[in-house]
Amino acid sequence: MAYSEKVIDHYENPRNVGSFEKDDSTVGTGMVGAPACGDVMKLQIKVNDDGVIEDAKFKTYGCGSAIASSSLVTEWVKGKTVDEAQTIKNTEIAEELALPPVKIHCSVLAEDAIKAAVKDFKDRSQK
Amino acid sequence: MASAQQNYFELFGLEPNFFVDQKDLSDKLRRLLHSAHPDRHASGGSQQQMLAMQKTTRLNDAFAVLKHPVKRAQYLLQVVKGIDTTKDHTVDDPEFLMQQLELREELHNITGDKDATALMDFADKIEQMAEVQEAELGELFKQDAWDIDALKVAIYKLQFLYKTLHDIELAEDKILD
Repeated sequence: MAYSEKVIDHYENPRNVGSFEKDDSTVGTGMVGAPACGDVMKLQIKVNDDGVIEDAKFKTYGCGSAIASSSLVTEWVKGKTVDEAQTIKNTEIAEELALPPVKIHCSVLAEDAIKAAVKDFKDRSQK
Repeated sequence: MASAQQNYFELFGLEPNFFVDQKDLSDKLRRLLHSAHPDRHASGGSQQQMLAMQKTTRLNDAFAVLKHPVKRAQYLLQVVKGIDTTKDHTVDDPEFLMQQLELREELHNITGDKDATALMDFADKIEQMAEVQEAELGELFKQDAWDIDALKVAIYKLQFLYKTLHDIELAEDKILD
């Protein structure tokens, strides 16, 4: 199956690979996985006092589309508020990367990951 | 001939059950493939031969499912309860996923170092984890009333471990090249 140029670009030059300290109170961590393909995705956001995402990092073990989807999301969320970040839809990711139908679930995983990261941040900042 | 309606277990003369004697399964496959072999139906015309070929394909499909613990568990849930667990869905179990991520990282580093000994140790570790997980799954299937949610979790955990085992095979090829 042929990957789109954008997928290949993100796959070969992934943006924002890495980790933040997950116990840091300004950090939200989203961990998701898809059993059918065995992909595991960790997406983290670093949020400032105004609720704006200053930085984002990811680590994904999976196919090119999963890596590209998470890489793209880390780029998109920077500068957004956590509430804005939560509205990112998998269809937008799939469209931007021109994912074929069999790879749509990779974009779903990335959407679930950013939602989980925001939820984790909110849960912990309330404490 | 009701063979098309027979499920994979019935095809091998088995009750739907998670516990399948693998030696017995292989023996039965050999016998069934032998009697279904298209050459044995050479005199029966093209229709007979086609049926024999379809039967052979179905036997091989069934064997592949019954042999593999994850596929067998999923098929069993499908046949007995009509529940499909093969569709993609997101797992939200941070602790387990973090462990899986760390295992993949470990494998990634071993592959980068081309360390064959470390890879063998790592393979042993994952195989052991898969064995434990398979036993856990078996215990759940032994219960009279199946706990579907617990079964789903046990199945996906085993799925992730099998994915890592698959990646280990790929890593072996890379290191040995």
